[in-house]
Amino acid sequence: MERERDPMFWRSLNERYANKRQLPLYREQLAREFPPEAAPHSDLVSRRQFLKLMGASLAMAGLSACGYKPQGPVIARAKIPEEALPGESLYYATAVTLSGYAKGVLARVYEGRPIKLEGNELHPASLGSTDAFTQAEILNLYDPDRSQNLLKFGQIQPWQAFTSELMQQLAIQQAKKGSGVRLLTGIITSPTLADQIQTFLKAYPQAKWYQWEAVNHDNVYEGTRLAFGEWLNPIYRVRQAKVILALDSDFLYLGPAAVRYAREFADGRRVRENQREMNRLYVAEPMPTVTGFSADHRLPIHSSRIGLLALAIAQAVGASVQVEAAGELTPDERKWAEAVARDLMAHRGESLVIVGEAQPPTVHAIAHAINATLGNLGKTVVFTAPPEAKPTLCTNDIRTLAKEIEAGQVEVLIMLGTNPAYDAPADLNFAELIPKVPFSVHLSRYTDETSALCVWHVPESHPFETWGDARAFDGTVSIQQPLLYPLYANTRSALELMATINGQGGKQPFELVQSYWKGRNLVPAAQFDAFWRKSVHDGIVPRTALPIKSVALRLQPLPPLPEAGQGFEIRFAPDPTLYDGRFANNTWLQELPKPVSRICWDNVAFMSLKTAQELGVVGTESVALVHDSAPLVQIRVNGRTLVAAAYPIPGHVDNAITLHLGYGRTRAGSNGSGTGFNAYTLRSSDAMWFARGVEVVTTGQRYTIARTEEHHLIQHGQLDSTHHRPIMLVGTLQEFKEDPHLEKHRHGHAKNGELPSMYRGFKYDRYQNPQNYRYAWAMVIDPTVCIGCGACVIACQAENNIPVVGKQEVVRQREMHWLRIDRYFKGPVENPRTYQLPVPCMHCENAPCELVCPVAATVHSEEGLNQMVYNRCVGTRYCSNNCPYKVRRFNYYRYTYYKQPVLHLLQNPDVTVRGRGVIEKCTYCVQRINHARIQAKKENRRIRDGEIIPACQQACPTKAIVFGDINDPDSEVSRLRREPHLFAMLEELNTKPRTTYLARLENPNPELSAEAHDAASH
Amino acid sequence: MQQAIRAQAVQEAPLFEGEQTYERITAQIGDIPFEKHPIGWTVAFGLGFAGTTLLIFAIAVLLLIGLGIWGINQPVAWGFAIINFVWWIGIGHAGTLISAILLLMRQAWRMSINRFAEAMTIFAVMCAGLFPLIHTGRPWVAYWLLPLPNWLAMWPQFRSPLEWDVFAVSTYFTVSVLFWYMGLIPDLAAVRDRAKSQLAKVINGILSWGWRNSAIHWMRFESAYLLLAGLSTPLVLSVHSVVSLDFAISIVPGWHVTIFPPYFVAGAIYSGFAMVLTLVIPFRILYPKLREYITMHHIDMMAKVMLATGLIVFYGYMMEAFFGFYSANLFEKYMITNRMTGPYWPVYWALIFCNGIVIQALWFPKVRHNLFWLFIISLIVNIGMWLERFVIVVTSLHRDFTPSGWGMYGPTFWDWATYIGTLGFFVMMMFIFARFVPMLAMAELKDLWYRLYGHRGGHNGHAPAKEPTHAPTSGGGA
Amino acid sequence: MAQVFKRYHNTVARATIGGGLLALMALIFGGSSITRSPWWTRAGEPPDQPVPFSHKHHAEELGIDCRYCHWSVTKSAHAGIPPAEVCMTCHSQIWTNSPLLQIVRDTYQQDKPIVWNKVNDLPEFVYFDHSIHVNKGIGCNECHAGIEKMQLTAKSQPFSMWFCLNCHRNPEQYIRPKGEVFNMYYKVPRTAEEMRALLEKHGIPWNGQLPRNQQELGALLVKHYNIHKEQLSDCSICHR
Repeated sequence: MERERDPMFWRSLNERYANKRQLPLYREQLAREFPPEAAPHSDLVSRRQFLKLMGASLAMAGLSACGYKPQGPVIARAKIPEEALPGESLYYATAVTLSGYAKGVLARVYEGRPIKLEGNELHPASLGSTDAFTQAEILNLYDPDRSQNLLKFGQIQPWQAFTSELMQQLAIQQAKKGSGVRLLTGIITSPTLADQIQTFLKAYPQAKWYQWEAVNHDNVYEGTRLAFGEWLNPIYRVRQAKVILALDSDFLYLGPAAVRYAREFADGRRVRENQREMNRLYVAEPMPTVTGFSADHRLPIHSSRIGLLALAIAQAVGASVQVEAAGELTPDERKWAEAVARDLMAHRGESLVIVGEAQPPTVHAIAHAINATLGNLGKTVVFTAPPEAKPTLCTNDIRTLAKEIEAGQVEVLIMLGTNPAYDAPADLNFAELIPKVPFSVHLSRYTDETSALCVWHVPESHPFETWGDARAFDGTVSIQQPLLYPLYANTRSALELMATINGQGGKQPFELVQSYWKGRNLVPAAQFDAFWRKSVHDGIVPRTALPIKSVALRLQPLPPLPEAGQGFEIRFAPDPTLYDGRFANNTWLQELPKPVSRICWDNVAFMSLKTAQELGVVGTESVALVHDSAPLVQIRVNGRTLVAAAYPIPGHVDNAITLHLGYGRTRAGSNGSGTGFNAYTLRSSDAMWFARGVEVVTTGQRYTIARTEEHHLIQHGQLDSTHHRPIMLVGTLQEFKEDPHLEKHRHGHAKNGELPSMYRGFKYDRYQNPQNYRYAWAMVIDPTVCIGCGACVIACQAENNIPVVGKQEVVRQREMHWLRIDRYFKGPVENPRTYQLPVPCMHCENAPCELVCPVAATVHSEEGLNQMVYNRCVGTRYCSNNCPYKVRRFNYYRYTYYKQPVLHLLQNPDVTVRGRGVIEKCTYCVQRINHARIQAKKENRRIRDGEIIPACQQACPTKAIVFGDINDPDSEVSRLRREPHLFAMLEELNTKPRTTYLARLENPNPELSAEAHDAASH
Repeated sequence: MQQAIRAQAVQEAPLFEGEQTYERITAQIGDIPFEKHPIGWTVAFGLGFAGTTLLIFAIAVLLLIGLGIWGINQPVAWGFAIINFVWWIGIGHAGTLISAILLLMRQAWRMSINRFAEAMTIFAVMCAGLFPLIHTGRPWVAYWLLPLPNWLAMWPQFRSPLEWDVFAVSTYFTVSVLFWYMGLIPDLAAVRDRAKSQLAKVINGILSWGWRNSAIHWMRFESAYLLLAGLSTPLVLSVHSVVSLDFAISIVPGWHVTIFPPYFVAGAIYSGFAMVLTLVIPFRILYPKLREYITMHHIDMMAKVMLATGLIVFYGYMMEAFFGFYSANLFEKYMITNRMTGPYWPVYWALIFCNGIVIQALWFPKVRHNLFWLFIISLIVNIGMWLERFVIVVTSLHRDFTPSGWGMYGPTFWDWATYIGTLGFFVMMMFIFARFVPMLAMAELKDLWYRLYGHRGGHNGHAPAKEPTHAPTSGGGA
Repeated sequence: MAQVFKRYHNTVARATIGGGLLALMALIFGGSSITRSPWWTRAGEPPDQPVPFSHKHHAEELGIDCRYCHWSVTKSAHAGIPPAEVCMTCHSQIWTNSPLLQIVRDTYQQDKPIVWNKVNDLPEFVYFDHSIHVNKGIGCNECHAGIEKMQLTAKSQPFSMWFCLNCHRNPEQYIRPKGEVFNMYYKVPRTAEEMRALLEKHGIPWNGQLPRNQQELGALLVKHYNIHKEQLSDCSICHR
């Protein structure tokens, strides 16, 4: 009966605590029967806005009134373009870098403007897919807030003024061998740039070069030093691993190789009729991450106690590790550790232990020891030399630099791209140090926190505007080629600036890069041109991957593990969408619902429900009240304080807070500034990732946060029916092997489809004669491998000109994403199972939306697409009401209204930009379908399977989405639709969706699954 | 037939009060437009006018900025606009019912309130018709719903109930206006002949189409009137049935209900009569003369109709709940439970209180004859019917099939402004009507008077000497 | 008392009723015919252009093929406005110092684009692809009728949705052999001989009955070119 009352699936604490709701809550609800934002939208109805919009909307009214507006100009080229065919796009290979490391991309360039990025299949870090950051890079290029002018103390200056001043400064330094010169950069893998810097350091022998990244992997290097005696770069062969243990590591989502690891992870997990094996993933972490959500077994545990866990496992597998450790594991944790250890030992040579960069070197060393003992070295984990131009420990670098500035030894400080004033450890007070430097130069794409403090700010070119090169996680070099003519005349790349400093100012980036690679003599001079062309064309320079080093475990004496009591702990983590804050002004990423929390436009202090109650930020019954307004709490970490919104999230470890870095910026730009809370103010150089002795006190104020799920999910009472809805089909691998149809889990799922319908169904029978072949498009999504990273959402946004609506509109439940990722919890709040489901338009064959539209603006196509005709839509919104999946979106305002013309360059010319007052929704990327169909028709052939790839499928790192023609029995999508564990969402409504899903399968360890399942069931 | 009416008149409360003659009837009602109006008129009109201004402003802002100023969102894409539309249309049902159906049923007591009710109907439908238009995202292309010949080679989609609405509502409006105007013609002629100012003469003259009160005029008038009555009778039932299909056709739990058409029609008549009472009672106070013609008997009859229809509506609620639980369909079950105990539970129970509990008072004659309590009840019923539409529209949408799509709806300032604005417009129109047009159907009253008490000079309660043998030709005075 | 109305007011009244009805009709028909008139649609009205280019001279008198200047028409959605370089291929030899061509020469030398005024303009939400049409046997002058006769270029069609659908719903009426697409003087064969000649010339097989008229020829070609007729009136074919 417990089972009766308790939800199976629930999406939020609010829902979870439906049953335990009490009367006070009721009263409070009564008081706030209407949500707070019912107040008039003064922001939108301000007089200025009013007038502005009046103009706009009148213009539109006029436009729609008469079909024949005056014809505009049409501009004819002067010269015939070489390769371009007017109206057709070209694809160029280049690379996008994140904290130095490259991910290969193919950029679609339409009439001279890049509009979309796709993965580069040849590139080891991409394999044809992208992550959300890469997808959003295109918006960074066109960001109107990009810095465009050379500034001295905020005053615009000509380039010569800068060079002359710089030169005379350097001349002075020349005399002192550059002892006063310091160079601060991000992590640099670019060989050419490194070469430039070395030239500089040769000329100024006493000058020093430091590197700083807020999200760095110092611990990884130190870990390898402790284990193998040298700094090494671990590369995981996730595909080969049957059992994976991730200790406080989000390896599926963050890091230079995340996309590749996610793909390999999925490849080892995909279950089909003929492929019935799954790898098994254990995750131990304080705060749920993308990786944790994908785990078969997840253990919530403090970062400071991961070490103990690792040690226990090491001992259990028989790795000889001596390290002094205070503290004890709880019986449950020990049980977990032993079970994992047994499983690992059962898979010698095909298991893998991964430790996150937040863990101290010792833990990394222990993990290496475990891997060595299990014989995984060289099999599931291999090592190369660090791909960086100059491997270093960022934290030491920034500390030393701070000391030197303090001591007044720094006279010239040149910063390339980093933003230490914002993200340097708080104890260094970097913001106060920079002004102490007499001559400081800051190269960056924005006039950010650091620029504001420097003497000179040099606007930086976007990588897409210039030449460059960068290494991937395995050392593979990509040549970055420009995709468009620089948008702004005064921007310079780091290469150009260094060239100027080295007195070769005239040189173009192209020459610099090309001459460098000529100098490497990788191929005989005669073949260089061919080699160069191939490298640029393919997006990778052949044979530049670093050689695998064969290593043997040589454990150094390990520093003690962090003293791990049960104290209150704070954990810093890179933000899932803003990373270290560099993406703060990117509205796509700001509005992308965070993979785990589904929050956008903010970061919050995550904590477990229990902790939240103990802290008194939420009472037991008022848990249900944590909707859009969250309580503000003050967090104190040895002396430093920060006020942030407290937010309970299921699966978080008790007595701990997780804060994401990257928010609370002051000079990010018009979109990023002033969002969220700045976690860096609590982060000190001695506790970069987690700190203890944290106090949290409530302030009594509340703060509005925007979430794309459970909007004001105020509790409804005794029924659990919502939770037993036939939304998702879930089962274990074992159950699948017993009954591939998983009948016992198919709640409302109609068994074998054909339900009666009053309407005459559309006929999609394919014509037998190949000439007049008819297609039937469909999509199958596999939630088993979907990790919910959100790359598809951004890809869809980029491809389909989907507008960003802003925090207020998200709070009002008007987000526009055509593709959303639903998240469902199952089991105990302390540590629930989590399931994610990407939901595009279902393209129902019996579409409820179609028959209620009074003007036939949404109708069915011959190929079974549910078409949405924006220019016919009058906006009655009945279709949206009648859509059981709620995938339709409405333009409540004129969301695509750009004051800055540069943003128009971003628009995809193949997709109509929707105006105010019309419905829009997923079209299966019909523009791509049409393009392929026209090509095929011109060539008198059928469209090949896989020729049409929707944006979401193309971006998906795990290839969880498959699109194709179900009239072709051999197409991949047809094969997937024949899988026994296929299911359709809300099948009993007989909408006959074209988008169907495979069951979400898990592979729990029988040893642990027992209580896991008890847990799930009450 | 006439015996029936007479008997009714003799036994029950009188349909007239005080000494009546044809002249008196004409003078009492026909002169109101020319007399000085009570201060109450000015106040009420002022309020109405203010409301109308607010309405115009609200619509201007809406057109310029967009639907975003309202509280609607995904999932609750329909809000106040549709609620108000259904509410007003419902109110607009009393008129036609009284004019048409009661006429065909030879209900003597309709005569003195039909003009009033019809006017109210027309203004209510005006308010109603506004909403579907402004609730579209692009009102400037809303004409695409009309099957006009066009150069797009596109027709509307006739499967959509919204398309049916267009026809239902426009037809209803047209017929109501015709009906109302037709009945006015003899009275306007009477007013024309009593008018002092040349302007009034001319205007009423034009509007009364040169009515000369000849037998042939009367013959045509009577037949045309009957024809229109016959024509609009089915409309009373059809319009709100069609409106109810806007919901019933969909698959949304709480909308997809088979009993909607009858249950909506009953609700409509219910709210219509409530609104008539809400208006008649104050008007009787403002214009004491009216009490001679709108007697307690009329009030009592209306209260009874309210009670009857109210009970039907309440039955509807019970059926909805029953279906919800009996269906054993988890969506339906959740829908009804969510109405009763979900975030909007206060609205639902307020609705039950207004439309289910309060009207039970009308069983008691004491209450039916107490104007004050009747007025209060009629107000409560109006509110109740509005809440009913809120419950249907909002609580069904805000939590339907897919939990991840769930949300909450709350009206904004502009939602309220638009709603209150239409109320103002309605009030304003009613008082303009009272200012320029005879509020009661004089001709019909005189006809009725004749049927009851025979020739002029007959006295209240006294039976006339002999049966009238010819069609009544009571003249429009002068 | 004095009558308010005279006898003739009856006539006025009747006239008003009749007149009102007439006015209403006039409004409807007048309105619809005005919006279809060139004055509104600008069909047949050449806009001003920087260079007075004559299709009549180049296409008809000199007989230059469409594709010489609009070379992307067979491969791309856009037929393309020729770059000045294309003009200069001839005009570097002839009319080398005609004042009319000054702009073209400047453009070419200074590499600055010519800004023409758009003649054929579709709304942003309409996606027309030239290549598929010319590849499936829709002749240039089905839409650009009489282009070869135009001294100054104007659009010969208002390009209403009706115009497009008319052909998309039954292409048989307009389709012609692919080889004749760029032939401005193509005539539908009247006699059986002409028909046979045409089909043989373009190697189009007909089995048994030789098509007698455009309708039958069209039906044959639609089949021959694998045109999926049912699909052509799908919204997403033109709107996305």
